[in-house]
Amino acid sequence: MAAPMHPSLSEPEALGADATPNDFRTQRAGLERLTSRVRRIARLLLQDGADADDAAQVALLKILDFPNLRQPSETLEEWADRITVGVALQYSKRERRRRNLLHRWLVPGRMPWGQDTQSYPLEGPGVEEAIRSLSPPQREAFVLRHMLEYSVPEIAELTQTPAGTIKNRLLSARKALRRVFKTSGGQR
Amino acid sequence: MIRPSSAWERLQRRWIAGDPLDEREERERLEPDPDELEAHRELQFYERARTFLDGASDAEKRDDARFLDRLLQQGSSARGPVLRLVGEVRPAPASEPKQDPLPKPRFRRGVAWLAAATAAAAAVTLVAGLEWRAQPLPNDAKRFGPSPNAVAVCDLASFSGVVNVGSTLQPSVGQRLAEGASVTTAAGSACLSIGGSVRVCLPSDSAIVLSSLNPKDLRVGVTRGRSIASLSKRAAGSAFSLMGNDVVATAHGTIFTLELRDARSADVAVLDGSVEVRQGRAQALIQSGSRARVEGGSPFSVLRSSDGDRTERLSWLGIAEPTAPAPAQAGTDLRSPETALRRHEGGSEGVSRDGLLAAARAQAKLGNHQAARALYRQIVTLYPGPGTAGLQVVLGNLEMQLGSPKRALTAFEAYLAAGGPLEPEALHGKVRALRALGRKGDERATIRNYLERYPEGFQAPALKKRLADLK
Repeated sequence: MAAPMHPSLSEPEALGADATPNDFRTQRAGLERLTSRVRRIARLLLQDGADADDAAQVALLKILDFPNLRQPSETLEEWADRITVGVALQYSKRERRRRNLLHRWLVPGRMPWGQDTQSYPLEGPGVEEAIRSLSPPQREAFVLRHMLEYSVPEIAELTQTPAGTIKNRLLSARKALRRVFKTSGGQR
Repeated sequence: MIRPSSAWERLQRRWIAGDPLDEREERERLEPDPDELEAHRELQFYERARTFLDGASDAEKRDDARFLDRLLQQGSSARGPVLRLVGEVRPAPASEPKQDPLPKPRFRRGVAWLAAATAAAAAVTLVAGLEWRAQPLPNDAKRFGPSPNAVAVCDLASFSGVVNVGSTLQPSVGQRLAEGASVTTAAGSACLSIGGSVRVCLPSDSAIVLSSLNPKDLRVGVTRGRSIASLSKRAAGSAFSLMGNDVVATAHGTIFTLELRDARSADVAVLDGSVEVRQGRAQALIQSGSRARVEGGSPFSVLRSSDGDRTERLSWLGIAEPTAPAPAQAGTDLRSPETALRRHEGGSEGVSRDGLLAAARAQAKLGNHQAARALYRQIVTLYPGPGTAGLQVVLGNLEMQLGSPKRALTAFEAYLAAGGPLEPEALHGKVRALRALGRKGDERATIRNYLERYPEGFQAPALKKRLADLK
């Protein structure tokens, strides 16, 4: 896998092994740097906006709680990505399980959650919307491979799915995206 | 159109599937023929996706800053972060056009952004209207006119005794209620279900009006007596408020009550979670176990009950503590807010252990972990013994999910002290709790204990790895 390049690598580290756990300002500075990224990853991996915000909060709190778990070779962003992906995938599993349960015994139209995901005015309109058109497994594979730049074996391990299945999902995601490009007239 | 057999297509497919490309192949992939417009478009998209996480729009940055502010409670302890998952309201983009020419009411900042476009007129009418609470209900219903785009489903979930829904004297369970509808109880009680996530109950001699069924801003006006609200988790961007006598109580939590005392004052008591209370410009966040008395023109007075003083909290719900403690076998928990709520819901005098258990399981299935935790705690406190011992493990797991490793540890240790078939799960839970608490020595000892007793246990491989890491 190509090592992820982060423009912020040369910046002084605001959080991590050097952070003093009780230093509120240090914590805040570090979280300010990571919040957008963490929230975007959570939103991309989870369908439900409320779950995405929950996952982002849990991930940020984990980042605060366990600075010593950061590996020396990791950039701040890589470390945050790893934690956020782990948390979001857990939420994603729970989301699927919950949805299956609900389908079995809740009256249609009485879902206590599942409101439309909050949409945000983002730079580069189109990327997030296009990704949302993918099925959850396709989206997971796409985000991990093409946005977070994990290798196929790494994705297979993270999602506990055979590597061949991940490859199929990446290829079928591409097909689905090409359909989206066509219907949107190439405006993406 | 890309030809399926084209060289670029083959390379792109290999790249997508994660197969390695050499330098020449990678160059060819990045430079398709100029006439292959779809290929160029696709490459542009993948490049934008790759850099997507590095940028954020100004609006998103502002939203992220607010998100972070909520996460880190400024001015609290140095550790500080407190989750606020319920009832948060995300502001609409600044450029969103105003649709209502009426002056904006003094909502709390977050609510105002979202609610202003659709509910300003209704809110002004409501807040003003509540001052005339002595008026008959039909007039209330007229004043509390519907706001546009109301979609939340509200129906009568249960009732007992004499209950009027609007002008209907003989309501039926499941009856659908429209925005602006009123519900009045005389010698009876009633519970409404709103949008599947909010339950509002009225004890006797109370009245409410469904002020807004806009799912983003659910509001219930209390026009007489008392109303109790219980909330399960809802999507971000939706708020729920009880209103009365110019007092607005917006939920951040799960169980709270608003009671009108006279024409100018109201009490807001919070049993679980926290509630933001506003009157005019004054506002305060009332925490669990506290009660705010809001009287026109004077500052809020906030009372806090001691943790163990259930009598006081019960009195806030209008329920007297029994003179003698109810025996556990009676299956009646008069001392819990949940049961108090259930009494109003069903008009019954209490809930049995099985009833509590069913409720706890239902809440857990719904993902409402805080309510489930409260119910499981009630069960293990009221009905200690072998029949409920296993619930300590369930409770411990819930505590871990809710980020309370200390409490989780207590629950797992309580189970282990008595022993039972769930010991492997309890030991594993204890390891997780100790890990979360940073107690590495104890964690190591517990892992060893697990591995000695269950060398082939389900968690053994993972725990061996963890033990090696700890060394």
